[in-house]
Amino acid sequence: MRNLSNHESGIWSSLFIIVLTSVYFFSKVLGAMAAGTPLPVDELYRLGLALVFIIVAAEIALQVTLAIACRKKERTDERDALIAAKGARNAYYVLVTGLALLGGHAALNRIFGRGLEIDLSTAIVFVLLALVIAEIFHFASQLYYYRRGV
Amino acid sequence: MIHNNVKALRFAANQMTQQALADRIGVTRQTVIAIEGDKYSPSLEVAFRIAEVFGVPLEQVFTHAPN
Repeated sequence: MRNLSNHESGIWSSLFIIVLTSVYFFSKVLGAMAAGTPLPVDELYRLGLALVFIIVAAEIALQVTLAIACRKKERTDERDALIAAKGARNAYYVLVTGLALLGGHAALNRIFGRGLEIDLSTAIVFVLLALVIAEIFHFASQLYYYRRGV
Repeated sequence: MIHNNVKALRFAANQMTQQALADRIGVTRQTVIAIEGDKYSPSLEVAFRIAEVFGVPLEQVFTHAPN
């Protein structure tokens, strides 16, 4: 891609990693929920930890590869800092919206009771989903600002 | 909307490269590209540095057109 900095390449790769791993994770978890056999909480914790481990390992491998490929460390400036801040702000909005929806659902459940119950494993899946979507927004919005301007 | 004459000033200054300007004002070449394409309005500090590099007043580098 034209004028793609190492920094942008890193963000594209991070976005690719998180989309790939989360699609695998949520297809497994949501597939089981749709089939009427939700994964037990222990299994969810195990899968969630595996997801985090894979993302961290892939990120380390990616950073090492980029460092070797680029040799010279690319500096960052005020525009990079502004774009990172705006990306983090957008991710924060998404995460807060997700958690507010979950909290709102729990509050409605407390007020109205039946039909709105949500079990622990579903709540964990929802929190993880909000985290992953927020992180995707984090990377995607940074790429948007790099290409479209900030 | 803030417009600028950075590209024209760069060419007038002995065809200074984007990288050379970036090094002198302390930003990356991608940021110079974004400034020239009106995709990024730099901080006042960087704006003043650009004007200093070309030896012109700030208003000769940047102009503001109300929306």
